[in-house]
Amino acid sequence: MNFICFKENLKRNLDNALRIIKYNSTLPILNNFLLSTEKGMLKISSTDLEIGFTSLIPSKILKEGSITVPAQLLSQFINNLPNKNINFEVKDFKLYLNCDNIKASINGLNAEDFQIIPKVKNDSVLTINSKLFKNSLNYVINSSAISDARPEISSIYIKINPDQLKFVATDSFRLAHKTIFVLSGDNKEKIKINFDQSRNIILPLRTAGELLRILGDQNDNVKIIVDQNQVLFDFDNTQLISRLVEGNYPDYEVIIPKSSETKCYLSKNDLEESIKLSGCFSSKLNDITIKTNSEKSQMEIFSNNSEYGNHHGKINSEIKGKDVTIVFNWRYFLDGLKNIDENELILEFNGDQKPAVIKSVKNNDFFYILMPIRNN
Amino acid sequence: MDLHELWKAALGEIGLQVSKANYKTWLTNTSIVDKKNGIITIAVPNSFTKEWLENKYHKFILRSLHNIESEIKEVTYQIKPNYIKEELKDKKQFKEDDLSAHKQLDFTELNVDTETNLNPRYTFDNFIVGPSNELAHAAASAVVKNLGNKYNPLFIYGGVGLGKTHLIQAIGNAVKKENRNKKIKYVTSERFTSEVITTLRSGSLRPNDIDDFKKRWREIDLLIIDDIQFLSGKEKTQDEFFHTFNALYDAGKQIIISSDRPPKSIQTLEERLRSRFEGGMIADISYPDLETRITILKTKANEKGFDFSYDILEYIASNIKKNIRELEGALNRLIASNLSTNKKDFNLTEVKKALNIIVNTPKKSTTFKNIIKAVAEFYDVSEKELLERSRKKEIVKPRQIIMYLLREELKNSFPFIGLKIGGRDHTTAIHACDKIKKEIESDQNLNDEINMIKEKLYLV
Repeated sequence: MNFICFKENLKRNLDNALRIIKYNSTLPILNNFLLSTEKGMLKISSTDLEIGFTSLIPSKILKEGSITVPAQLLSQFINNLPNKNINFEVKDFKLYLNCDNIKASINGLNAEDFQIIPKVKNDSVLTINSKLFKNSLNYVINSSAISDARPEISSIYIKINPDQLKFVATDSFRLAHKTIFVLSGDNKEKIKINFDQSRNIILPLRTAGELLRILGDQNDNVKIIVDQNQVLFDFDNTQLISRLVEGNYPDYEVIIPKSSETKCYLSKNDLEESIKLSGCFSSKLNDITIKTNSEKSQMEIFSNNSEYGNHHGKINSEIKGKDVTIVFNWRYFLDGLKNIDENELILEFNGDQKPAVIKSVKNNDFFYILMPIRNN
Repeated sequence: MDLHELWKAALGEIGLQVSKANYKTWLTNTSIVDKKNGIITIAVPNSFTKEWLENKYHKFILRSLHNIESEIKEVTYQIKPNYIKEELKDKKQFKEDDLSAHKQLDFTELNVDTETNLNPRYTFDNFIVGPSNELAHAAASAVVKNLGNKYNPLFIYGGVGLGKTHLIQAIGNAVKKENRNKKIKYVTSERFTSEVITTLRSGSLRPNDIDDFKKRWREIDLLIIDDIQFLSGKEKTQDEFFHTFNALYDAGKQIIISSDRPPKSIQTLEERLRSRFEGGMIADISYPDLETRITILKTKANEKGFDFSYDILEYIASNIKKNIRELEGALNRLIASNLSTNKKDFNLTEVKKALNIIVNTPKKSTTFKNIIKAVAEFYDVSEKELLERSRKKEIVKPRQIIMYLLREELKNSFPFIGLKIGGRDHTTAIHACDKIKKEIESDQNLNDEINMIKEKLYLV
């Protein structure tokens, strides 16, 4: 195998490929990249047996072949090379690099021993604009559970219906829910669904995180191909294949409050500002208190810390229904606010022990449900 | 040689031919799941393993299996992830230990088993049996032992917060424990309705979804439907449920239904459904007696790691009589105030103070007018007729019920009752109240009717 590749082209893909690898001590070859040639390009593959990554990089191929080399080493070395063409050559399971007047050789292993990245065989394809897709994931990803204890919610739930896509994430304290209406506006051009039937998938959180990183600022199409246990994301020359979480996603619809006792209309900026201020004085619980005053059309936001001091803020708000005093984790609250683009906001409460709903007045495509902190 | 032993023997041989690291990576968590006509199916945890075994180790595997049993000619691989549910429990335990985390409320709905919708919290072990629910409990236990044969369908009814959901979910959990392969589904009738609606909505676009829906519901071994009374009036859902019910019933699958009232009292329930519900076993759960309530409190307190003295428990139990959920609420309140003051000990006066709000909340009041209106509506007679001198049977009974309710709910005096109900003598009122009181004890139907009227009275 012999090829010439420009450093900059290689670097970004090596970074992405490296992130997939989780250090594995039982099978050292899992800590390697597979370099091979395909369609006149260089192909880099890496995997941790849950996610498989492959990327094709434009290069000048002088001789076909393949090898696997330690990922960390190769990527670290190449990062430090000057921005020039690099010549790669494989001889006797050794990778010889030649760049400018720098020479190196890396001991590799037989490519035959590298794990095989499975293929996804299915005709069900969802094609979606990468910006729109990234945006939708971003709406919900911060509500997903980070712990591995419950794999089914350490994930993003994606419901693929003919007329809408839904993205859901929860960590059992809050829940974020984003809908894309496939048939409305310019979404028609941005999304094509070719599925025999509605399909729901549970995408592992880690896969979603890597996807966001790989997508970067691209404005292109992503093809999403779903089969029984796995999903393939195909962007141009890069492919990411991941297992799906088995089992069922919790029945989250029962959590969505169907009515509300208190409705508050207010400005998102005011609220966000006040919550951030109050957060300075919250205790270890991150607790801040919200108290509605419908008579004065005001919402009070305050926190009290016996050690440091306290804060008390008031913002204007039109309040309908019963007054309520309720305690929240302000970090969770901000996570939800962050995802709302409009300034006009509705908060809905059902007493101080039931979940609250945060949503925009105008757009009904996103809402955030948050459980309060027990109020004594 | 069974499948397990066969695979173990084969692995022994394969292990000699591959490196230890490879063996550990690719062959742990695999098993033989099927053997038919010389074809072996091997379950593997993920698609990577499947690819690797198919492409790299297929020859080893086939050869070693063939060496052990010569009729084996083919090996196929199937992805069967084995995810572990047990971890969930550990995590919850940890969470409850942590006081600060305890205060952040979570969506309790998410703790249910996503496969069956059952909440693992509900088991027979923590279901407290007393005279009020003995029959229902016995029927439920019988159903677990004789799934689909003995009492099918099992219909359990009783008031709010008396443990219907607990009991029917306990059946599900017990069946699941006994046989992991049984397909169990617990669903509230509301949920069922919304599934019917979603399916119909997307159905116009994709016919597959409707078939999918039918298939999904008809391959269940044990179907548990909670709060069936909410199906009343929803014709299309009833229709879909009727077909599901029949399909399951005919296939000898067990169906369990709960409701707040007996089948014949559920209004606008299709006749054909009603008669099917009545075809199995009907058991009721009524209000628990004082002793049962105390036992319940004691168990719940122990579950949460608290121990209260007998007189405290008795105080709570004797003040909250008609709803177990409220009992638990009072207990939670007590525990919460205990946590905030960081005291381990509690005396009765403090308990009384802590529970003041719950115990002394005046009962939602109703009025003379409301009672008459509710009864008249319930029995579909005119209010005017009730106050007249008619002695027709269909008028007399509602009239007596009105007098009984005025006495029980409003604590009106007998002469006042007599006067208000068409200027009758106070002895008439006494007679009516005594009669109804006696009849309630022997006549379950009357008891149900009166409870439903009361619900109507206090609902709005």
